[in-house]
Formats: sequence, structure tokens, C-alpha cells
Amino acid sequence: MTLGLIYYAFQQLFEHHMLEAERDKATLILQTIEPIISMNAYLGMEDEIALIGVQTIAHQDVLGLRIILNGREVWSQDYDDTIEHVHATLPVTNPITKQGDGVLDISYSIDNFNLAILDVRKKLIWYLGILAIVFVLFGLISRYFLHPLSLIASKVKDYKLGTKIDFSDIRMDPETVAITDAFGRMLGNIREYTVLLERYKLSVDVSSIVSRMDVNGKLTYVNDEFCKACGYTRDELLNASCDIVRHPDTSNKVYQQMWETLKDKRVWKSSIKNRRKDGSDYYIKLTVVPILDDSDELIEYVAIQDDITKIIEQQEQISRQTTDLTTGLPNRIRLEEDSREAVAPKLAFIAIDNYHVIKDYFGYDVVNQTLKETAALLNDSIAGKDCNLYKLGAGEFVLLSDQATNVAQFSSICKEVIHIVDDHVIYLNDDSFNIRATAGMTSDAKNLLTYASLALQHAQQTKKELIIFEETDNLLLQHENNLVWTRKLKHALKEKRMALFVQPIVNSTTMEEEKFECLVRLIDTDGSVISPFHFLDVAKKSTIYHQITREVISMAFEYFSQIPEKQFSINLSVEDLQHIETLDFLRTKLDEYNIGSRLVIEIVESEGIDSFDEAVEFIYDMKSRGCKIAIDDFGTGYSNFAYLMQLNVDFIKIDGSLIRDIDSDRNSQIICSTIVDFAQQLGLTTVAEFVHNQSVLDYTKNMGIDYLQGYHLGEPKPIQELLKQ
Amino acid sequence: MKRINTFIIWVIFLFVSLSAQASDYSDLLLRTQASIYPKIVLLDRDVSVKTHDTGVLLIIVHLEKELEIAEKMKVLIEKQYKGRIGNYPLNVELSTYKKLAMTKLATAYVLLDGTMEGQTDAARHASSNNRLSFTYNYNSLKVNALVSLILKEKVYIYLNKDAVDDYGIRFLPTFYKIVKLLE
Repeated sequence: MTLGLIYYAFQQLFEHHMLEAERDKATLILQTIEPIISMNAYLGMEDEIALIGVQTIAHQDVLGLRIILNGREVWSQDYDDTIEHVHATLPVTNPITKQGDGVLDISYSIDNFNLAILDVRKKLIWYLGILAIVFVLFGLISRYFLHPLSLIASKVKDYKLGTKIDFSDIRMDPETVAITDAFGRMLGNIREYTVLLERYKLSVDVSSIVSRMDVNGKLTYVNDEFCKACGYTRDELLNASCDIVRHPDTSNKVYQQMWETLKDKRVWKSSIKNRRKDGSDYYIKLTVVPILDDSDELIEYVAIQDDITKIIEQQEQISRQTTDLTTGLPNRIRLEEDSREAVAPKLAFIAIDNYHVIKDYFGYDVVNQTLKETAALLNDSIAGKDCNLYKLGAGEFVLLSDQATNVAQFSSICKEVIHIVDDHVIYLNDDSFNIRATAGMTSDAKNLLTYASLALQHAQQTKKELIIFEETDNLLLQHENNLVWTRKLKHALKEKRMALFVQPIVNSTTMEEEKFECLVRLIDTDGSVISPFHFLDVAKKSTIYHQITREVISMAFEYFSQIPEKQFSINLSVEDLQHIETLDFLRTKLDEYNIGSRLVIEIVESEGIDSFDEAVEFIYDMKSRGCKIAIDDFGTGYSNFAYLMQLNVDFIKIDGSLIRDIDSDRNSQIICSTIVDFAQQLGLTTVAEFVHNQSVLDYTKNMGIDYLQGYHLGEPKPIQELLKQ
Repeated sequence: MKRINTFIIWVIFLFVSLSAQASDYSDLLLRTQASIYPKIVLLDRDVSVKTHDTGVLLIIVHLEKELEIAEKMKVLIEKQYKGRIGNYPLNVELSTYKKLAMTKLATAYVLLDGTMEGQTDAARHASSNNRLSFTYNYNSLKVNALVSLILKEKVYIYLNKDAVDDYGIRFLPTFYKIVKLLE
């Protein structure tokens, strides 16, 4: 059939073209004689035209020729019409006018053409015959060699994982052996990878929360971890929408973004909050992978989730620990972390000048309002700048910047911030007041807090708005002095040279030593006793202070557990009250020795309490453990009666400066008398400090102060002496 | 053999020449030339620059004693072409060999028999002005005339190949296929 078509196509095309070639030959003859005929015709030389006709007809293949000029047949030659031929005509053009003067008509024999065609047909049939034989042979050989391959193909086509393919019934040529071996190895690899995949799936299933969704978001698979995490059963989950675990807090925008990403055939990752069946929250780190088929069309989605609830809760706890509760700003812990990570840090302390006045005059609510407004002001003023804002101690803020801001720029920012604070007015219901700020800054990366603090102190002392710490300043000498003391304190702590001294507190009625105030002393390497007056301020600038406090607590509990019935008091500063580690240490000791009923906690510098609620909470906790609370140094500073009531204290220790000259100073007498009256009305016990002579002793006893303390009654002495008594 | 051929050619040449002289002018030849020469004028590709305002001017140059023959030829041409050839008007004028230099320049010249000197001057006049020259007598081609025509069993047009370059005439290419070249 194919060969027949080839033959037919060849005949049609080849014969047609050959016939046209014959016609072209005839036309070529006419084109050759036409110019001569036309010229002779132009000159009227018909004899010459006839001669050309005769010469043309002499050609063996030219059967006949007609020369027609101006409508008249000038010359013609008839021929045998039975002979196969082709016709060709050509107009005769006047050589001068280029107009047609006549026509030439030639009859051209195609005998040669017929002979050639016959020859070509014979050869074509011969070649096609050979080609047919080659095809048949090729088909037979191919069938012989390809038969085993088609058998292998049919066996491999129906292969199922886990089954074996038997190639034994296939004829084994070397090529077939190679192919079956290759298939065998390939199937082995597939089995191996399938097992591996199963193991991976198992690993993921046991370690992660895994689910699969169809393109409409319906769950088609959930693993055990998924069920455990959300509390639903597998039956409840399958065919349910993935929204079944969606938490209302997770915004539509998040889900919209997720679906847009997935429809775009991209992987989507995020951490989101979900809701369990019981309504509780859990957090997951979610990765959703779109699964595509060979045509790149979406088939389903696979979601792999990790439960990060604990991590989130820890982060929230850390965040709470590193955040100031009043202002919401990062606190000292965060500042210390950030300053450690900074490459070229610059730090400025910014303190509200009249902070304590505001607190004492207006109370805590106004102070909190002031702190919040100032924090917001500072935050707004540094927006877009390379600065972070922190809240530290009482009325103190810190600005920290890194390498993107140089010292001059940072100084400029600090001044700008101070001016903004200075211009700010705090409005109350029926009152208002201005606040001012002072700043100290440094770019010394190793001593950021210390140098900035020194600069702030210097600025406050010299009434300048901003001081930049310079190493040439006396501040550095002070700092070096601090370092000396810090080293000395560290060594003393390490070498157990911090000593506990006690000073008796005498009942003014019985004059019995009922209580002892625990006081810390540093025993120098030469054995001399150093008062805390020399090192306490230095210690407060570092973490050593808290170590000292803990050392005092530890020694006090250890010794007074051996001295029954005697009450003992420990001083805790505002810094101690804010130091969780110290408070936990105190709670541990109370639990360990169970002598809380004999402990009086003297809160010193109570006017510095910022977080009043936390202080009240601490006092409540201590009182629940049987401890008593005393306010130390009452009557000085800006302490007032209002917060005494809020703090629910048991003792008021009247400051020594009011007692020292009470026997002669009328003002001290009036103030102390007021304090005592007030305390008696509140049912509080009063203690007079600094009773240094008999006259003062007499006066304070007569005034009705409950307890007395001072050098006249007993100097501080090592606790060991009390143990000997 | 070559010498014999040359001799035969010369004998034929003398015979023809003598027969022409002897028989004066052939009426048939005159008619044929009157019919064909004007047409050959148009085969000059530069004929357009050689026509006067009046068109193609053909001057028949003759001896004074052959005025009658010249007029006869003029009449024959005018009768056939009726004053127009191709796109051009056709004018035929007569001039003696002596006065040829004083007559206006023609598009082509037909030289009737004349003295050798007269025919030579006329042929030079034609060639120097790039004008065609036809001769009645085939032998006159030797005086550097360009085209002649004879009658035998058919019409033969002769072209003086050596003179073509002198005349600077550019014929239509087909013309060269039908003429015989005189070398």
C-alpha cells in the first residue's frame, strides 16, 4: 500500500514535471527563432522567414510549425497528428514598436519523453521492490529482537510495590539480561526508597503534627499527634474544614494570606494560635506545602506543625520579666542584654528631676500617670531613630543607640528629648504641673551604665541638662574609687569577710533588749571593721549589693535560729524589693528555718518604691509567713502617712535626725510627737533611732515611743558576742 | 587552396560589378531597397537624436546625370511610407555628390552610383556625423559605406563590419542576426 502510494506520487509529480520540461524545450526553440523572425518580418523578408521555418522543422523532435504574422499564415508545416506531442506558442513582437505582430505555434514530439518515462518506471518498480524486501526483513528481525522487550514491558507495567517480577520465561539474550538486571536494580531502589519514605513518614508522624487537606481545605488525613494537640477524634476531624481548630484571635488576614500563597503553589510558613476542642489555646509553628501533579496542578496540601505553646509561654514570661509593668517599656534586664549585643553602644540616663516630689505630693496614681506620659513622649520623640528606650529605677529612663548613630547625633537626640520633656505639662483633674529632665550619657562600651550614671549624677549636681561622660572628668576618679571598693567587696564576699553585727533595740518600758537590728560590716584584710557607709552606695551600682543582702539574710537566719525568742530585723531596700532572686532567697530561708515570726523586715528608702502594688504584694506575702514590717528612717525625705496605711506596716522607725536633738530641738519634738500620735492611733509600734545619750533616752521614753535604739543603749557588735551571752 | 578561393571571390566581385555597371539600375533592387532601407533607419537605437524637426530625413545622393533614378527611388519610398515611418514623419530629399557638403544633415544617406571620390566623401560625411549610409551598389561598401543589399535567390543585407566602429551606430541586437557581415 505504502509502496503503491510512493509509486503513484512519484508518477504524478515526476511525469508532470518531465512533460512540462518537454514543453519548455519547445518554447525555448520558439524563443530562439522569434527575434529573427520578427526582424525579418519587420524588414518584410518573408523568404528568410520561410528558411527559418524549414531549418526549425529539421529538428528531429519538431513535428510542425506555424508562423502567423499580421493574421496571415506566412509559413507552416503539417504533421502526423497521431504522434504524441505537446504544443507551445509564442507571440512575435515588432522589434521597433514592441507590439505583437503575430504568433508562432510549434508541435513538439514527446517520444523521447515517453522513452525516458518508461525507463524511469522500470527502475522505480525495481527499487520499490528492493525496498519492500528490506522492510519485510527489518520487520522480522525487529520482531525477533523486540519480543522479549515487549514481554518485559507488560510485566513491569503491572508491577505493584511488594511483589516480585519473574523474568525467567523470557528469552535471555545478552541485551535482555542487561535490561532485566537494570529493571531489577531499579525495582530494588524503588523498594529501598519506599521503605525509607515510610520511615521518614513515621518519623514525621511521631515528632510532628501532620495533616493533609484537599484543595477545598477539608482534612483528608490527620496523625495521632494532630488529634492529641487539638483534642478532637480522627472521625471528628476527617472531612471537616481545617477551620475547626482556628482560633478567633487569628485574623482573617492571616488565613487570606495563607490561601493566596497556597493557591499560588508556594509554601506557606507561620506561627499561629489555634483552639482545642475544649476551648483552650495552643500555638503551632505551621508549614503548609502544596502538592502538585505532573501537570503542575494542585492535588492537595500537606501541613506539618510543631506545638510551640511552651516556647510561646516562656517567651511571654521572659517578656514580662524584661518589661516594666507601669510603662510597658523594656527594663534593666533587657537593657543589659541589648547593650551587650550592641557593637558601638551609646547610652544616656534620663531622669525626671522632681520625681520624688511628684510622688510624695501627688501620690502613686499621678506618678504612674507621669511615668506613662513621659514614656510615651520619649517613645514618640525617638521614633524612626536608631534608639531604644528603657525604664530603669525611680523616674529613670535610658536611651541606647548603636553604630548607626554617632556620639554627636546621640547627644543631639538626648538634648531634643530633654527639651520635649521640659515642655510637657501633666494635666490632672483640677491641677497641672511641669516636669523637667536631666541626662548623662556615655559611649564607653565597657562601662555604659556606670559612666552614664556618673554623668547623670554630675548633671544633677551641677544643674546641667546633659553631661557627656569624659575620661578626664573627676567622675572617672570617683568611678575608679568605686572599682576599688567593688573589688574589695567581691574579695570579701569570696573570702567570707562580710560580718553580721547586731544592735539591740530596747523596750522603752522594760528596758529589755527584745530585738536586734542586723547590720553588715566588712572585715578588711588587716582585720579592721568597715562600716557600710563606705561601700553601700558603690555596691548598689552593681549586682554585689544583692549578694551582700543575701549574705546578711543567710547569716541572720543561721545565727538567730540558734538564739531563741529574740526578734531580729533585716534591712531591705527598694532595690531588694524589686530583685526577684533576693526575695526568693528570703522565702527559701523562711521555709528552711521557720523563724518568720521573729523576723522584722525594715524597708529602707521606702519613698523610692515605684511599683507600689508589688511592694504591697510582697508585704502581704511576708506577713502571711509571720513576719513583721517596719518602715525605716520615717519622718525624713518625703515619706507620708498615707502610704504607711497602704503598706500595712507594723513598726515605724523614726529617723535618727529627728531623735538626735529631740531633747532640745522644738521642731523635732513636734514632728516626733505627731508621728507617735499618728502611730498610736493606727496601732503601730514606734522605734526611736539614734538614742545617743541619757537626755534623749529620757525624752523619748516620756514621749511614749515603744522601742529605743542607739549607741547609748548598745553599739553594734558582732553576732558571735550575742551567741556567747 | 586559399589563393584559389580568393581568386574566385575576386572573379565574382568583378562579374557583379561589371554586370551592375552594364545593366544600369535594377528596378526590382531599387524597389527592395526603397522598401527596406527606411526600416533599417529605425533599427538605430539612437535614431531619436538624429531626426530633424520634421522627422526622419533620408537624402538620396546621386550624380547629376542620375537624377531620374534618384527621383524614382524617392517616389518609391514616399509611395510606400506615405510620409511616415514608425512614430516619425519621413522626408526624402535628393542631393548631388558635389552639393552634399552644403546640404543639411540627414538621418541617413542612400548613395547611388558615383565617382569613387564622391562616394568616399559622402561615406565620410555620413560616418563623421554618425549617420547611416546605404548604397545601391554592393561594391560601394568598399568606400566605407555601411549597409547594402543585394538580390539573389532571396534578399541579402550586408553590413560593413569594419565601418561599424567608425560610424558609431548602435543597431538593435537582432539586426546583427539577420545581416551578412562584410569583412
